[in-house]
Amino acid sequence: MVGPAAVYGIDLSTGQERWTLARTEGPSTTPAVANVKGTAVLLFTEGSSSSDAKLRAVELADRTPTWASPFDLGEQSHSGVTVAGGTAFVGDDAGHVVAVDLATGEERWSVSLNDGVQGPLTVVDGTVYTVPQGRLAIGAAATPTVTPTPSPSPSPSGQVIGEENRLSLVALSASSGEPSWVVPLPVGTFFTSLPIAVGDSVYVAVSDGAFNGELLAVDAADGAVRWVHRGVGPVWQTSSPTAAGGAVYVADGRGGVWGFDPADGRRLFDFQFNEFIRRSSPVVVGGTVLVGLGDGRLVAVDASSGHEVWESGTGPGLVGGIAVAGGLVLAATGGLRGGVVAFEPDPQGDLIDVTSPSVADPPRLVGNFVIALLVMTVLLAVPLGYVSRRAKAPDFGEPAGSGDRNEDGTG
Amino acid sequence: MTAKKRSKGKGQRPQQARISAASERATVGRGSESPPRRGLFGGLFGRRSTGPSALGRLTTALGRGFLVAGGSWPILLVSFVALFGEWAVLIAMGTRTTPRFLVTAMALPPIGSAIDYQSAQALGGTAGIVVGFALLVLRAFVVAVLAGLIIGVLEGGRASLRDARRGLRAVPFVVAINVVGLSALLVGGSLLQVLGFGLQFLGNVMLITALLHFLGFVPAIAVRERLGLIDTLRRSRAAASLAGGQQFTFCLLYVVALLFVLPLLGTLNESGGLITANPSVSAWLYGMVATYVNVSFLAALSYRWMVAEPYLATQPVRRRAR
Repeated sequence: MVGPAAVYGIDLSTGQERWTLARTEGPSTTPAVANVKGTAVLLFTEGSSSSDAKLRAVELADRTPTWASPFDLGEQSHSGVTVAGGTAFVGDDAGHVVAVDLATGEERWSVSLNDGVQGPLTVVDGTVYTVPQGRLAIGAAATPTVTPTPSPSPSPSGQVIGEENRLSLVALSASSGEPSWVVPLPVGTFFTSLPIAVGDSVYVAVSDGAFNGELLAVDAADGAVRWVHRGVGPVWQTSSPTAAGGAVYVADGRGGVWGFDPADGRRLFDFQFNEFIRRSSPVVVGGTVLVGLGDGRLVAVDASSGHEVWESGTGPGLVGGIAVAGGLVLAATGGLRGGVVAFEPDPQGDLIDVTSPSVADPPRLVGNFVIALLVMTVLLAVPLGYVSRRAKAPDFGEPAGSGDRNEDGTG
Repeated sequence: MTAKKRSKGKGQRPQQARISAASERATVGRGSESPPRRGLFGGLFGRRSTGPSALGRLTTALGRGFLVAGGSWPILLVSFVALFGEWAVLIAMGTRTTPRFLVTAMALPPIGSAIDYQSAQALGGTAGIVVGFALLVLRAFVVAVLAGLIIGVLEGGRASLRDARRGLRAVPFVVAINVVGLSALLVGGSLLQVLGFGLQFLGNVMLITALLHFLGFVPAIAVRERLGLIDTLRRSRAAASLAGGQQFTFCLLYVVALLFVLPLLGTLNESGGLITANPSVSAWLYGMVATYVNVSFLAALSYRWMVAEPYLATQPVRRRAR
């Protein structure tokens, strides 16, 4: 687990800290573990400026450096590390994407995007997917706080990749860095989730400045849009859709957990938790969708019914990334006393069955309305009706051309 | 004379409208001192009148509006049932929203139609266009019926089925102003983007106010008079431009109440901010109060038109010279 100034090794069975490795202070990002010539290697980024931003690789067993020297990144990185096919992929805030040989620690290629990389690069079937964009201030207003300058180091073709003045989904060849395609996202897109690629589709959730979201499915081969589902909330840059068990799941910033049919984007279910979700992506375990909420709860939604079946207690900070390992569900927690919490199955525990508040309950809906209607009619019509009967009626002049009377003028 | 006694003959216009005592009081000196201002924006930026206006006092209109809307249970019933219908349609469309939507659900055109457009946008494609237009017509139907009922009460009677039927004649007119207003908001909104977020927001508020200013009398005119669309729009503009009427202030007051004051009050209702399909009783009460305010402003606009109508009846509808 990567903290601001150190990397921690935690015993999965006890939760005790096994080792600590100091790192140059920088954003807490996602590390990666790779197998290099039969040795487990831990890769992570460190540093917060162009002078000290680096990619490091250490052997997991004894934390000795794998490479002769860390790989110099051009700029601070929020992307973390993605490993695929003997290569580590890293993006930085200035829009560089680099591919580093895991065995030697040397650059294979680098390209420049027109904006920063804000989360882990998605690498599937020889293609790297990302949406270059400014970094959001996670606060009251979603305002990009970084406007990176275009990279001085050119792409192989000397170009800066990305649609001008518009966010775009970029697909790069994992072997050469050459752009496979660049798809402009809908006009008004302000920020996006991390993209995922499953099968022959790439899924990404886009949000506009008013925090209205859409889930897009595009063809992985050429970037053609397959379908769009509107009506979801904003999905933050630190969250991604998930595909599992024949469905695509999204957790939006307003606390909505959604399931969609990957074929046509039809909504299968949604559950509205009415609690913000910023750093958690849905994780599917045996037909159950797990998501971490802003109030510290880890919640589980049954993917077939769309009902909530389990939730943990609230905590002091939000629940972020979730992982499943060794029969445990591990959840990263935020706040001043953030860390990792492990949940194990409770054979004595009972599941709950809660319907989403977004599902209409006709008796309750009509009942509440009728009560309010009676209250309002009595409160308004009785006293104001009395006043208006007592008040002198206004006397207007003759309407011009009023023609709603009988021919004989009797009205 | 009561308002139920009307001029003779279907479609006939009186040679000169009789002016009642009340409207005479409201329009002292109208003949030479309060002529309609010339030009499109004459009513907004022209010389201020020092005398009483043909539109009467703003506070009187508001008071009468709130009294008419609140004192008639048929008007309240139609308003609140329409509010419920709007919510039910939205939920049936699969929209996920909070009860704070109820504040603007029954907003006057063009704000209400802009909200329908946003709701339909969530569907996207052809379905979005079809549903959007259906919502627009449905809203026009509700506004027209309410205008008919309100005018029935203002004319001294009780809101009746006959008044509701009479209101239906305004449906095509309200559809038209919904379309005009929505188009203006979409085009204006796009153009205003160049101003940056703060000024764009201010520009949108002013645009909504201006649209309401010029089109606000259309439902009442359509119910009371049998004119074509263009003449109805001209009369609405002429009434809005009457000197000293404070019609722009009146519309700004409504927009501020709807977009700022009522949503602010809504934050007191904690459950109002949660996404649900089943609003609580308190959320419904909050939505109904907002609806009452919306309908009261419609009643106040109708009242203002009826006060000004006798004066404007003597003015020929100005046509462009050929």
